[in-house]
Amino acid sequence: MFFLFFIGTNHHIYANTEKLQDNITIDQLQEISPFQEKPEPQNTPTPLVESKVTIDKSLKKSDTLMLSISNNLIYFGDLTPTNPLIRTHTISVINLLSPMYNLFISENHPLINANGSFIPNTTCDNGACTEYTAGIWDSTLTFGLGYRCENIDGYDCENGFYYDQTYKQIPDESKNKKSISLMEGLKENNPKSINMLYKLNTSASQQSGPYTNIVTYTLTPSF
Amino acid sequence: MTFLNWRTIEYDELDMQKILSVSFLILISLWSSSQKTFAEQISIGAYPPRIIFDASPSDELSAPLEVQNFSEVPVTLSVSFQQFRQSESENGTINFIENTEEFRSFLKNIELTDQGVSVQRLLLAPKQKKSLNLQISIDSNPQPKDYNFSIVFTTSEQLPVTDDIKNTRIHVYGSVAVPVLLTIGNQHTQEITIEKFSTFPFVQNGPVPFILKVHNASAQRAAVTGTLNITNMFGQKIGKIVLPKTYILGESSRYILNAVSSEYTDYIRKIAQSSSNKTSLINNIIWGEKVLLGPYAATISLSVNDSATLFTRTIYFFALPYSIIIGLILGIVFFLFLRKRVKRYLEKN
Repeated sequence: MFFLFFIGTNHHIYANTEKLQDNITIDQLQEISPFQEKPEPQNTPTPLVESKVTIDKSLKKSDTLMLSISNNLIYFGDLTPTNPLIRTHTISVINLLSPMYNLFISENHPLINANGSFIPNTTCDNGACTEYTAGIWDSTLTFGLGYRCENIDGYDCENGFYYDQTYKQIPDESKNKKSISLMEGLKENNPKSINMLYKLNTSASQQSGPYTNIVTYTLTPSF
Repeated sequence: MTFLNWRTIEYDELDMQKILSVSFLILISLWSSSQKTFAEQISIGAYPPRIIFDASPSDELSAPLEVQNFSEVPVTLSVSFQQFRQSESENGTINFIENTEEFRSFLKNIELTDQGVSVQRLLLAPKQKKSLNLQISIDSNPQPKDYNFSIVFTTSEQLPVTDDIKNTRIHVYGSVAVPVLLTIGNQHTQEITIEKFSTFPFVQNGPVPFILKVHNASAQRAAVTGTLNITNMFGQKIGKIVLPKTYILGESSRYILNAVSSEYTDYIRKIAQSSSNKTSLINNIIWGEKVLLGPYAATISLSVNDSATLFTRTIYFFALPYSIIIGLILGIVFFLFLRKRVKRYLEKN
């Protein structure tokens, strides 16, 4: 009983106390903005209805939301049939304010050449991988474009990429596919980074290139 | 001899100076290499992370926001407004949806301005930040309504150099989105219910995860604040978690998370690695106490829209660090056995 009493009373009182967030007016936003190094009165908008906007008091000057991508063009060079090409770039996310964040991915259309011929998104070796479901893509006789997400800093890649050679399709906006989450994570002091791999493999019957499309990454905090 | 000593000392000092200088340079280079650098092709940021409006008829709303180009190259950003709804994870993360006809007509009331001039595209020099102003005009006789949308800043196409036009290529765009929650004519009705409040009935030790899901039955947004108090078997309050103000959209539910520190994200990560359902692990309030024993009571108290009315509920859980107890028992048994053997040995001799 003495042992129980000792353990039971040996806690830190209020072990995990967090500061309550209050509301403040937008005037104070200028003071705590992460980008504000010195007052710029000419750029400071005059609030029309101060009491209508609320932001969190807990925001600090160093807090911010940031997306960094190492390359804005991914070149595949000349396409050789049944010779898979893999290209990578890194993506870093900083989310110091919101409880959570998502990084979404989508493409405007499949890779298309000037004649309108296109390289479809891969369906992986078993023909079943989609935007939502990853699948193994190891065969050189499986064609198309796919991606995989590999964690560098953190563990924020969405599920499905645990095994090597697992890939997903990029959601195709031209087919009314919605962008899907590529990374999801919590508020944290350190940047989260991933390695983004694009894999492209074409068949002998594929028209010659060049093929192009646009892949968009959208970083959004939770509300 | 003195001269020689002096020379020796001088030589040693010079040598030491060199060593110190080299060490200093190595330290500086190591320090600088350990710093995170973001010399990326695309590197953009936005602030604040969300904007909350609570509007009345005929209001002229305004809120400042800023975008910055953190990269070493100029960037052109296009501005768009995109509606969203809460994602299926029900934790405040969002899914973009196609703008409705109604929202498209409401867009005429929304304007992003740079020093009073409406902007749809922005050219930012390297490292440049731009202060903007979001302005929304509310009609004189609007229906009570919520609009949830994001201001999306998207980089524009970088044209490849001539030689690379022959290459098959993917153009990569980057976007940052600032969510805006706009409620018009909110009656602040308190149709809030605690849909789920639970934890594991038995735990071996902490941290202890709690699941708290709150439902907002009203048509418009509600803001919830609250505390989670934990008491031990002696009635002592041994833990208090103050929950951050959380917005719950109309006719929806939301899991409430506490402001998770990196200590707890490590904990979540560890579990998430071995789980197929990462989201369900994230949707927790984490109580970080590690040493636990006996019965505990956890009481949640929620306040809606800063009113004095509290919604409370209490759950109980029991902590038993059985691995420690088994270890202790084995230790005691071993000690008794050893004592008996020693005693017998001493008696024989």
